[in-house]
Amino acid sequence: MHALLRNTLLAAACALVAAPPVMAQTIASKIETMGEPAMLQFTGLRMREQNGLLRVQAELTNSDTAPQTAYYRVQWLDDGGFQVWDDEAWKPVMLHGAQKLTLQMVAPTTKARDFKIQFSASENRALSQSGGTASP
Amino acid sequence: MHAISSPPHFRCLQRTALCALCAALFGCATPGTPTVGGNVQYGDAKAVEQVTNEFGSTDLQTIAEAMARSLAQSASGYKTKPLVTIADVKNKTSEYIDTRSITDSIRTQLVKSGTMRFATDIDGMQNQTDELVRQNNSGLYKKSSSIKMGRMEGAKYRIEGNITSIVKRGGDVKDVYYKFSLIMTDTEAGTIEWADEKEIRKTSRR
Repeated sequence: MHALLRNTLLAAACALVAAPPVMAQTIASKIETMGEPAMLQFTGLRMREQNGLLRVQAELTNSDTAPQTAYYRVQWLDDGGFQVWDDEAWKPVMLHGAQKLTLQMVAPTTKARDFKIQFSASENRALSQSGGTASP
Repeated sequence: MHAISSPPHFRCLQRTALCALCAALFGCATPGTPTVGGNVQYGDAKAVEQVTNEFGSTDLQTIAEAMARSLAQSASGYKTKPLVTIADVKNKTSEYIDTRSITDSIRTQLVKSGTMRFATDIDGMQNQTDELVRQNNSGLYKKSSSIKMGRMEGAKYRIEGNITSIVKRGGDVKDVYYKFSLIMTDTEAGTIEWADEKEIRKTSRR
Protein backbone atom coordinates (compact mmCIF):
# COMPACT_ATOMS: atom_id res chain seq x y z
CA MET A 1 0.00 0.00 0.00
CA HIS A 2 2.78 2.40 1.03
CA ALA A 3 4.84 1.37 -2.00
CA LEU A 4 1.87 1.96 -4.32
CA LEU A 5 1.24 5.41 -2.82
CA ARG A 6 4.93 6.29 -3.01
CA ASN A 7 5.16 5.19 -6.66
CA THR A 8 2.01 7.14 -7.59
CA LEU A 9 3.37 10.29 -5.96
CA LEU A 10 6.73 9.86 -7.68
CA ALA A 11 5.07 9.42 -11.09
CA ALA A 12 2.94 12.52 -10.56
CA ALA A 13 6.00 14.56 -9.49
CA CYS A 14 7.93 13.43 -12.59
CA ALA A 15 5.03 14.38 -14.85
CA LEU A 16 4.89 17.86 -13.28
CA VAL A 17 8.63 18.38 -13.67
CA ALA A 18 8.70 17.06 -17.25
CA ALA A 19 5.91 19.27 -18.68
CA PRO A 20 7.31 22.82 -18.23
CA PRO A 21 10.73 22.27 -19.92
CA VAL A 22 9.06 20.89 -23.08
CA MET A 23 6.71 23.87 -23.30
CA ALA A 24 9.57 26.29 -22.47
CA GLN A 25 11.62 24.76 -25.28
CA THR A 26 8.81 25.36 -27.80
CA ILE A 27 8.43 29.00 -26.72
CA ALA A 28 12.21 29.59 -26.73
CA SER A 29 12.47 28.30 -30.30
CA LYS A 30 10.15 31.12 -31.44
CA ILE A 31 11.87 33.93 -29.52
CA GLU A 32 15.14 35.60 -30.47
CA THR A 33 16.40 37.69 -27.54
CA MET A 34 19.12 40.30 -27.74
CA GLY A 35 20.99 39.45 -24.55
CA GLU A 36 19.33 37.66 -21.62
CA PRO A 37 16.38 39.62 -20.15
CA ALA A 38 16.82 39.97 -16.40
CA MET A 39 13.17 40.38 -15.31
CA LEU A 40 11.04 39.61 -18.36
CA GLN A 41 10.19 36.25 -19.85
CA PHE A 42 7.71 34.79 -22.26
CA THR A 43 5.40 32.47 -20.36
CA GLY A 44 2.90 31.66 -23.09
CA LEU A 45 2.59 31.55 -26.85
CA ARG A 46 -0.51 30.85 -28.95
CA MET A 47 -0.95 30.82 -32.69
CA ARG A 48 -4.03 30.45 -34.84
CA GLU A 49 -5.15 31.21 -38.37
CA GLN A 50 -8.05 33.54 -39.05
CA ASN A 51 -9.23 34.23 -42.62
CA GLY A 52 -5.86 33.11 -43.96
CA LEU A 53 -3.85 35.42 -41.70
CA LEU A 54 -1.78 34.15 -38.80
CA ARG A 55 -2.63 35.53 -35.34
CA VAL A 56 -0.13 35.22 -32.51
CA GLN A 57 -0.63 35.97 -28.84
CA ALA A 58 2.48 36.04 -26.67
CA GLU A 59 2.28 36.33 -22.89
CA LEU A 60 5.07 38.37 -21.35
CA THR A 61 5.63 38.31 -17.58
CA ASN A 62 7.47 40.82 -15.43
CA SER A 63 8.99 39.05 -12.45
CA ASP A 64 10.15 42.32 -10.92
CA THR A 65 8.05 44.68 -8.77
CA ALA A 66 9.38 47.70 -10.69
CA PRO A 67 8.16 48.66 -14.20
CA GLN A 68 10.18 47.23 -17.05
CA THR A 69 10.47 48.36 -20.65
CA ALA A 70 11.25 46.22 -23.65
CA TYR A 71 11.13 46.31 -27.43
CA TYR A 72 9.88 43.66 -29.81
CA ARG A 73 9.09 42.97 -33.41
CA VAL A 74 8.08 39.93 -35.42
CA GLN A 75 9.77 38.23 -38.35
CA TRP A 76 7.17 36.53 -40.54
CA LEU A 77 8.36 33.38 -42.31
CA ASP A 78 6.91 30.92 -44.77
CA ASP A 79 6.99 27.11 -44.39
CA GLY A 80 10.60 26.97 -45.49
CA GLY A 81 11.81 29.59 -43.00
CA PHE A 82 12.12 32.28 -45.68
CA GLN A 83 11.27 35.79 -44.51
CA VAL A 84 8.15 36.94 -46.37
CA TRP A 85 7.86 40.52 -45.12
CA ASP A 86 10.28 43.41 -44.57
CA ASP A 87 11.73 44.02 -41.11
CA GLU A 88 9.06 45.58 -38.94
CA ALA A 89 9.63 48.63 -36.78
CA TRP A 90 10.61 47.94 -33.18
CA LYS A 91 7.66 48.43 -30.86
CA PRO A 92 8.19 49.68 -27.30
CA VAL A 93 6.25 47.98 -24.52
CA MET A 94 6.04 48.77 -20.82
CA LEU A 95 5.08 46.31 -18.11
CA HIS A 96 4.04 47.40 -14.64
CA GLY A 97 5.49 45.52 -11.67
CA ALA A 98 4.51 41.84 -11.68
CA GLN A 99 2.29 42.35 -14.74
CA LYS A 100 1.43 39.70 -17.32
CA LEU A 101 0.93 41.34 -20.69
CA THR A 102 -0.44 39.70 -23.82
CA LEU A 103 1.15 40.93 -27.02
CA GLN A 104 -1.17 40.61 -30.00
CA MET A 105 0.39 40.15 -33.42
CA VAL A 106 -1.29 39.71 -36.80
CA ALA A 107 0.57 38.63 -39.91
CA PRO A 108 0.70 41.21 -42.71
CA THR A 109 0.31 38.66 -45.49
CA THR A 110 -1.31 35.28 -46.09
CA LYS A 111 2.13 34.01 -47.20
CA ALA A 112 3.26 34.03 -43.54
CA ARG A 113 2.99 30.51 -42.09
CA ASP A 114 5.51 30.83 -39.25
CA PHE A 115 7.04 33.57 -37.13
CA LYS A 116 9.91 34.53 -34.85
CA ILE A 117 9.67 37.23 -32.18
CA GLN A 118 12.75 39.43 -31.83
CA PHE A 119 12.93 40.78 -28.29
CA SER A 120 15.15 43.21 -26.45
CA ALA A 121 14.69 44.11 -22.79
CA SER A 122 16.07 47.30 -21.28
CA GLU A 123 17.58 45.32 -18.43
CA ASN A 124 19.65 42.31 -19.38
CA ARG A 125 21.30 39.76 -17.15
CA ALA A 126 24.55 39.22 -19.02
CA LEU A 127 25.42 42.75 -20.08
CA SER A 128 24.06 45.09 -17.38
CA GLN A 129 26.09 46.14 -14.34
CA SER A 130 23.70 48.39 -12.46
CA GLY A 131 21.30 49.64 -15.07
CA GLY A 132 20.08 49.05 -18.59
CA THR A 133 21.79 48.44 -21.86
CA ALA A 134 21.47 50.34 -25.13
CA SER A 135 17.95 50.00 -26.53
CA PRO A 136 17.21 49.42 -30.23
CA MET B 1 82.88 62.86 -61.97
CA HIS B 2 81.66 60.78 -59.11
CA ALA B 3 78.00 60.95 -57.92
CA ILE B 4 77.74 62.02 -54.32
CA SER B 5 75.86 59.32 -52.33
CA SER B 6 74.55 59.89 -48.79
CA PRO B 7 76.04 57.86 -45.97
CA PRO B 8 74.17 54.61 -45.01
CA HIS B 9 72.94 55.82 -41.59
CA PHE B 10 71.39 58.92 -43.19
CA ARG B 11 69.54 56.76 -45.76
CA CYS B 12 68.22 54.60 -42.90
CA LEU B 13 67.03 57.72 -41.08
CA GLN B 14 65.31 58.95 -44.28
CA ARG B 15 63.41 55.66 -44.68
CA THR B 16 62.34 55.65 -41.01
CA ALA B 17 61.09 59.25 -41.29
CA LEU B 18 59.14 58.39 -44.44
CA CYS B 19 57.54 55.34 -42.75
CA ALA B 20 56.61 57.44 -39.71
CA LEU B 21 55.03 60.10 -41.94
CA CYS B 22 52.99 57.49 -43.83
CA ALA B 23 51.83 55.90 -40.56
CA ALA B 24 50.76 59.29 -39.24
CA LEU B 25 48.87 60.21 -42.43
CA PHE B 26 47.27 56.88 -43.28
CA GLY B 27 47.17 55.17 -39.87
CA CYS B 28 43.96 57.10 -38.96
CA ALA B 29 42.07 55.80 -42.05
CA THR B 30 39.80 52.77 -41.68
CA PRO B 31 40.84 50.25 -44.27
CA GLY B 32 38.13 48.56 -46.32
CA THR B 33 35.08 50.84 -45.76
CA PRO B 34 33.72 52.46 -48.93
CA THR B 35 32.88 55.78 -47.30
CA VAL B 36 33.58 59.42 -47.93
CA GLY B 37 33.79 61.88 -45.03
CA GLY B 38 32.92 60.97 -41.46
CA ASN B 39 30.46 63.51 -40.03
CA VAL B 40 27.28 61.58 -40.81
CA GLN B 41 26.21 58.33 -39.17
CA TYR B 42 23.45 56.20 -40.72
CA GLY B 43 21.12 54.73 -38.12
CA ASP B 44 18.41 52.10 -37.96
CA ALA B 45 15.20 53.43 -39.56
CA LYS B 46 13.21 50.88 -37.54
CA ALA B 47 14.72 51.80 -34.17
CA VAL B 48 12.63 53.32 -31.39
CA GLU B 49 13.05 57.09 -31.38
CA GLN B 50 13.24 58.62 -27.92
CA VAL B 51 14.69 62.06 -28.72
CA THR B 52 11.66 64.17 -27.69
CA ASN B 53 8.08 63.46 -26.71
CA GLU B 54 6.66 65.04 -29.86
CA PHE B 55 5.14 62.86 -32.56
CA GLY B 56 7.98 60.81 -34.02
CA SER B 57 8.96 58.11 -36.49
CA THR B 58 8.16 55.25 -34.09
CA ASP B 59 4.66 56.65 -33.53
CA LEU B 60 4.10 56.87 -37.29
CA GLN B 61 5.36 53.32 -37.82
CA THR B 62 3.37 51.73 -34.98
CA ILE B 63 0.15 53.50 -35.97
CA ALA B 64 0.52 52.59 -39.64
CA GLU B 65 1.31 48.98 -38.81
CA ALA B 66 -1.53 48.56 -36.32
CA MET B 67 -4.13 50.11 -38.66
CA ALA B 68 -2.88 48.20 -41.72
CA ARG B 69 -2.97 44.86 -39.90
CA SER B 70 -6.44 45.52 -38.56
CA LEU B 71 -7.71 46.51 -42.02
CA ALA B 72 -6.06 43.49 -43.64
CA GLN B 73 -7.68 41.18 -41.12
CA SER B 74 -11.07 42.74 -41.79
CA ALA B 75 -10.62 42.72 -45.59
CA SER B 76 -9.53 39.08 -45.70
CA GLY B 77 -13.03 38.15 -44.58
CA TYR B 78 -14.66 39.74 -47.66
CA LYS B 79 -15.64 37.57 -50.67
CA THR B 80 -13.85 39.88 -53.14
CA LYS B 81 -11.05 42.36 -52.48
CA PRO B 82 -12.69 45.64 -51.45
CA LEU B 83 -11.91 48.75 -53.54
CA VAL B 84 -11.03 51.58 -51.20
CA THR B 85 -9.99 55.21 -51.36
CA ILE B 86 -8.19 57.22 -48.70
CA ALA B 87 -9.95 60.40 -47.63
CA ASP B 88 -8.67 62.99 -45.21
CA VAL B 89 -7.24 62.19 -41.77
CA LYS B 90 -7.64 65.30 -39.66
CA ASN B 91 -4.89 66.44 -37.32
CA LYS B 92 -6.67 67.65 -34.19
CA THR B 93 -3.49 67.91 -32.14
CA SER B 94 -1.59 71.09 -31.39
CA GLU B 95 1.54 69.94 -33.22
CA TYR B 96 2.39 69.55 -36.86
CA ILE B 97 1.76 65.94 -37.96
CA ASP B 98 1.80 64.89 -41.59
CA THR B 99 -1.22 62.58 -41.53
CA ARG B 100 -0.81 61.97 -45.25
CA SER B 101 2.45 60.18 -44.44
CA ILE B 102 0.65 57.87 -42.03
CA THR B 103 -2.07 56.96 -44.55
CA ASP B 104 0.54 56.50 -47.29
CA SER B 105 2.28 53.91 -45.09
CA ILE B 106 -1.04 52.19 -44.37
CA ARG B 107 -1.85 52.09 -48.09
CA THR B 108 1.61 50.74 -49.00
CA GLN B 109 1.36 47.92 -46.50
CA LEU B 110 -2.14 46.97 -47.62
CA VAL B 111 -1.29 47.00 -51.31
CA LYS B 112 1.78 44.84 -50.59
CA SER B 113 -0.29 42.40 -48.57
CA GLY B 114 -2.76 42.03 -51.45
CA THR B 115 -5.81 42.19 -49.19
CA MET B 116 -7.23 45.47 -50.53
CA ARG B 117 -7.38 47.46 -53.77
CA PHE B 118 -7.00 51.20 -53.81
CA ALA B 119 -8.60 53.72 -56.14
CA THR B 120 -7.03 57.09 -56.93
CA ASP B 121 -7.70 59.50 -54.12
CA ILE B 122 -8.47 63.22 -54.37
CA ASP B 123 -4.81 64.23 -54.17
CA GLY B 124 -3.93 61.97 -57.07
CA MET B 125 -6.91 62.93 -59.28
CA GLN B 126 -5.12 65.80 -61.02
CA ASN B 127 -2.31 63.53 -62.22
CA GLN B 128 -4.86 60.89 -63.18
CA THR B 129 -7.00 63.25 -65.30
CA ASP B 130 -3.89 64.89 -66.84
CA GLU B 131 -2.68 61.50 -68.03
CA LEU B 132 -6.12 60.52 -69.39
CA VAL B 133 -6.47 63.81 -71.26
CA ARG B 134 -2.92 63.54 -72.60
CA GLN B 135 -3.50 60.07 -74.04
CA ASN B 136 -6.96 60.76 -75.46
CA ASN B 137 -7.06 64.40 -76.55
CA SER B 138 -3.52 65.20 -77.64
CA GLY B 139 -3.79 63.22 -80.87
CA LEU B 140 -0.34 61.73 -80.26
CA TYR B 141 -1.33 58.24 -79.16
CA LYS B 142 -2.61 55.22 -81.10
CA LYS B 143 -6.36 54.95 -80.42
CA SER B 144 -6.16 51.15 -80.42
CA SER B 145 -3.64 50.93 -77.56
CA SER B 146 -4.30 54.10 -75.55
CA ILE B 147 -6.41 53.98 -72.39
CA LYS B 148 -10.04 55.05 -72.71
CA MET B 149 -11.88 57.77 -70.81
CA GLY B 150 -14.90 56.93 -68.68
CA ARG B 151 -13.55 53.55 -67.49
CA MET B 152 -12.36 54.46 -64.02
CA GLU B 153 -13.56 52.29 -61.15
CA GLY B 154 -15.11 54.16 -58.26
CA ALA B 155 -14.16 53.08 -54.78
CA LYS B 156 -16.88 51.35 -52.82
CA TYR B 157 -15.33 52.28 -49.47
CA ARG B 158 -13.49 55.28 -48.13
CA ILE B 159 -11.06 55.43 -45.20
CA GLU B 160 -10.91 58.54 -43.04
CA GLY B 161 -10.10 59.45 -39.48
CA ASN B 162 -8.38 61.80 -37.13
CA ILE B 163 -5.57 62.04 -34.61
CA THR B 164 -6.00 63.79 -31.28
CA SER B 165 -3.71 64.38 -28.33
CA ILE B 166 -3.94 65.21 -24.65
CA VAL B 167 -0.90 66.90 -23.13
CA LYS B 168 -0.48 67.15 -19.36
CA ARG B 169 2.32 68.84 -17.42
CA GLY B 170 3.01 68.47 -13.72
CA GLY B 171 6.28 69.37 -12.05
CA ASP B 172 9.01 68.03 -14.27
CA VAL B 173 6.80 65.41 -15.93
CA LYS B 174 5.22 65.88 -19.34
CA ASP B 175 2.71 63.26 -20.45
CA VAL B 176 1.46 63.13 -24.03
CA TYR B 177 -1.36 60.81 -25.07
CA TYR B 178 -2.16 60.29 -28.76
CA LYS B 179 -5.25 58.60 -30.14
CA PHE B 180 -5.41 57.77 -33.84
CA SER B 181 -8.90 56.77 -35.01
CA LEU B 182 -9.72 55.37 -38.42
CA ILE B 183 -13.02 54.29 -39.97
CA MET B 184 -13.96 52.66 -43.26
CA THR B 185 -17.31 53.81 -44.63
CA ASP B 186 -19.41 52.21 -47.37
CA THR B 187 -19.80 55.31 -49.56
CA GLU B 188 -23.04 54.19 -51.21
CA ALA B 189 -24.81 53.04 -48.07
CA GLY B 190 -23.22 55.57 -45.73
CA THR B 191 -22.53 52.85 -43.14
CA ILE B 192 -19.33 52.37 -41.18
CA GLU B 193 -18.00 48.90 -42.00
CA TRP B 194 -14.80 48.96 -39.96
CA ALA B 195 -13.34 51.10 -37.19
CA ASP B 196 -10.20 50.90 -35.09
CA GLU B 197 -8.00 53.14 -33.01
CA LYS B 198 -4.42 53.16 -31.75
CA GLU B 199 -3.38 54.80 -28.49
CA ILE B 200 0.14 55.91 -27.62
CA ARG B 201 1.42 57.39 -24.37
CA LYS B 202 4.79 59.12 -24.07
CA THR B 203 6.09 60.42 -20.77
CA SER B 204 9.22 62.50 -20.35
CA ARG B 205 11.03 64.09 -17.45
CA ARG B 206 12.96 67.30 -17.72
